[in-house]
Amino acid sequence: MELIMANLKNIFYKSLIAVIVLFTVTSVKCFAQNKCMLKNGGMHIVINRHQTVASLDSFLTRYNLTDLDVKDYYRPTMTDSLKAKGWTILSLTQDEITISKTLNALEGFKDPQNTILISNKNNSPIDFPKLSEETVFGYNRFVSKPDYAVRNSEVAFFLRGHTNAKRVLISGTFNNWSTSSGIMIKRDNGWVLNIPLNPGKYWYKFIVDDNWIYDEDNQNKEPNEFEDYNSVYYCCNYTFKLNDYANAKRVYLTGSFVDWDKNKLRMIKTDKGWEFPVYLTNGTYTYKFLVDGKWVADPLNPNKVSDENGGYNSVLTRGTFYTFKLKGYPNAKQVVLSGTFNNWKEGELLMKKSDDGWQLPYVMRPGNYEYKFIVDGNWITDPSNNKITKNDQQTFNSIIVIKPNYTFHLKGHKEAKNVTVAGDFNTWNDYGYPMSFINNEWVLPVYLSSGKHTYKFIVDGNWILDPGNKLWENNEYGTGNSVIWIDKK
Amino acid sequence: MLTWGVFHHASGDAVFPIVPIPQQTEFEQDPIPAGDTLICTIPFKKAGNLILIEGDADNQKGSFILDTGAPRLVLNLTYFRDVKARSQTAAGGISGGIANIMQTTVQNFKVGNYKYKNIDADVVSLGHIEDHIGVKVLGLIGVNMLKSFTVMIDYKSNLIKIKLLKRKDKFCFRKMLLKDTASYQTMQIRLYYNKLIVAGLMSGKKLNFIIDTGAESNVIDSRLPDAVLEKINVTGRILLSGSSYKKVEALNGNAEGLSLSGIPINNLPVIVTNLKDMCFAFDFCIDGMLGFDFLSLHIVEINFANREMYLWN
Repeated sequence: MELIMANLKNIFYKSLIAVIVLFTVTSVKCFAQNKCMLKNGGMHIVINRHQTVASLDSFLTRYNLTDLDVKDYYRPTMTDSLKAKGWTILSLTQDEITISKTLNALEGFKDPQNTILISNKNNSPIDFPKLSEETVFGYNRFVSKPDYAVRNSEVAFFLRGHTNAKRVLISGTFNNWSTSSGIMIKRDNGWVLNIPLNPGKYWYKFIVDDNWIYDEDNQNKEPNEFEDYNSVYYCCNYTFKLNDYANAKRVYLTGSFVDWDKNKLRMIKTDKGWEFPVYLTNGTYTYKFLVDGKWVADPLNPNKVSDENGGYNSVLTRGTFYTFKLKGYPNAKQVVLSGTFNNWKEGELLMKKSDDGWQLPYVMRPGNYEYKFIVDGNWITDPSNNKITKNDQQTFNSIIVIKPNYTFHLKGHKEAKNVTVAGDFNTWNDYGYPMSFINNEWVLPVYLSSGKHTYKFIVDGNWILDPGNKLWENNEYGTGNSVIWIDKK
Repeated sequence: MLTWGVFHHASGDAVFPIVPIPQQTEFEQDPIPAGDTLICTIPFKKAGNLILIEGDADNQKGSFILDTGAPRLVLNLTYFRDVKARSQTAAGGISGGIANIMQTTVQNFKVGNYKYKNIDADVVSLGHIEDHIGVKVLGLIGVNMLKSFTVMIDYKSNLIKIKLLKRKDKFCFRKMLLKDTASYQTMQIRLYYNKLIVAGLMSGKKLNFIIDTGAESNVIDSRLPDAVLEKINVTGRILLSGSSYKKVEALNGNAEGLSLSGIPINNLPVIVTNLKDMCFAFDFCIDGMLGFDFLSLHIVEINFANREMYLWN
C-alpha cells in the first residue's frame, strides 16, 4: 500500500514538474507572439520587437497589415509613419510595440441598398456563371445520346423524360438565367426547345416544375457552391475531319488546344472517315491525328509547321486576318506593330516589306484596340487611319475596332468640331474615341462585351449624357453617366 | 434612412449617439398582396450570394433582390427615373451620398402568383450594386411586402416557397415538411420599423441582430463592450467600400459564445465594423447583421405572421 502511495506521489511530483515546465514554455511563447485583436472599438495590435523579419512578415501578411511601417523597429520616424496612418501608439518598450486604431463607420451604411455591398468575399462562388468570352476551347460529351442537333445556328436542347411535369424551362447564360422565359415544349419522350446561339461556352439548367436540375445526359458539368452542378454546352464552330482510315480502331485528335494530350479527344466514326466537332476561339493552333498509335498530319490542310521530330504539325488559324499596312518608308530597317492587343510589346510583331511599304496580317478577337507603328525606333500613328485618341503621354494612338457590335449615335451638333465617346470600354479616356459625322448624326461603331457599360459624349470639350438614351446613373462628380446593357446570345 | 425618417447624429463619444426625429407616417400602411393562398414556388438565381427573383413593376420586368434588410420596395432610379414622384425626402448630411430620395407609388407589382396594387416605393440609384454583382437590378423587395407571408428560403436548391397566410392561419412549411422537432430549431423574431430582429446574447450582453438576405456576410458592431469583442477571434483586416467612393477598414473574425434566441451558434464568421449609423430610434440600435453566411447553412423559414423563424438542414 505504502509502495503504491509512494509511486503515486512520485507520479504526482513528476506531473507537477511537467506542468510547470509546460507552463513556463507556453508563457514564454505567449510573450513572443504578435497579436491582432479587438479592443475598445478598434484594432489592437501587439508586435514583438525580437523576432525575425520572416516571422513579422508572415504575421503582417496573415492579417493583411502589410502597409504597417513596423519593420524598421529602431528608426525614429517609425512612430510618425504609424501616426500618419491613423494609429495610436499605446506603448513602446524594448520588447513590444502596442498600437491601436478605431474602426470608422462606412458612409451611408444604414441605407439598405448599401448593406448589400458589405462583403468579405472577393470571389463569390459561381452558382450562375455569366456569359464567358474567355473560353478558348471546348467540346461536348453526352451520355446515351448524340450532341444536340443544330440547325440554322439553332440548338435543339432536349430533356429526356419528366413527361409528367407540368412545366419545364431551360435557363442559362443565353437567357440571363431567366426563371420565366425558356419554356420547353413537350414531346412523347421529353421536352425540347430550339435556342439560337453563337459559337461559345454556355452554362444552363432545367427548371422542372420550379425545381432546378442539371442535364444528366450531359457529362460536361461544373460544380457550384452547394455540390450541385451547372451543365455546360459548347456551341461548336469547327469540325476536325480525317477522311479514310476506315479500318482504324481508334483515332484521336490532339493539339496545342489540349496541351497535346493524346487520349482526350477520341474522334467519331462517320461514313467518310472520322470527325470531331469543337469550339475554338480565334487564334492559331497546331494539331495532329493519332491513328491507332501512329501520328498523321491533316492530309487536307496545306498549312503546316515542323514538329521538331522530322515531321509536320498541321496549323489551323481561326478568325479573320486584319492586315495592318504602312505605306512608304522604303529605307526603314525595321517596322514593328505594337498595341493593346499585345500589351505594347516592342519587338514581337515585325512587319514585312511589301511592294509599297510594310504590312502584317494579324488575327484579333473582337474588341477595341489602340496601336502604333515603330519605324526604326520612332513611334508613329497609322497615317491611313483617321481614328485616333490621346494616350497617357499626351501623344496619339490609332484605334481599330474588330467586329463592332454596337454603334453610338448622337443626332445634330452639326457645327461641332470634335465629338468623341468616353466610357468604361476605353477606360474613360479623357480624349475619347472620335465619332464621324454621317447622315446628320455623329456615329461610332465599337465592340462592347456583354453586361453593363457606362459612357458619355464629349462635344468640343463638353461632357454630355446621351440625349437618345434615357438610362443614366449618377457618378462621383454628380453629373451622371449614360448606361447601356449589352445582351448577347 | 429610407423608412424611418431623417436622423441627426449628435457628436460625442456616447455609445449610441442618436437623437431621433419622429418617424414619418406616410408609409405606415403595408402593401396587401392579392392572390390565392396556395403555395407558390419561385425559383431564384443568385448573384454574389444575393437572391434575385423576377418581378414586374408597372410593366417593367426584370430581377429584384429579395432584401429583408430593406424595409420596403426600392426601385432603381436608372430604370424608374420617369415615374411620378410622390415626394422627395431630404436625407443628406450624415450619409452624404444621397441628396434626395424620391418616393413613388407603383400601381401594379407582380411577383410569383401575387399581385400588389398601389404600393409605395423609394426610388434610389442601385448602380453600384449592379456594378458589384454584374447583373441588371430593377429593385429590392423589402420586408413590408412580405408581412402577410411565410417564406421558405432554400439556398441549396435555389428556391423560395411563399404562402399567403390568412388571419390566424397556423400554416408553416416546417410543419408540412418536418414532423421531427429534433431536426429544426425555432427562433423568435421581432418586427421593428420593418426590420426583422432576432435577440442575441454574447458575454451576457443582449444584442439585436437583423436578418438580412441582402447581406452577404454577417456583421457585428466594433463598438460593443470588450467582453463581447474578446470573444471574436480576429482573422485579418479587410477594406469595405460602400456607395460612396471612400473605403473603411474592418476586421474579419469568428465569433464564439453567441446565442440567438437562446440557441447557441458556434464559430460564426463575422465582419467587425462600426455600426454607428444603424440606429432606428433613440432606444434601438442594430448590433449586428445575419446574412448569407449564416442563412445559407440551413433551410430557413421566416414566418412573418407568427414572428418565428425556423432553421433546418
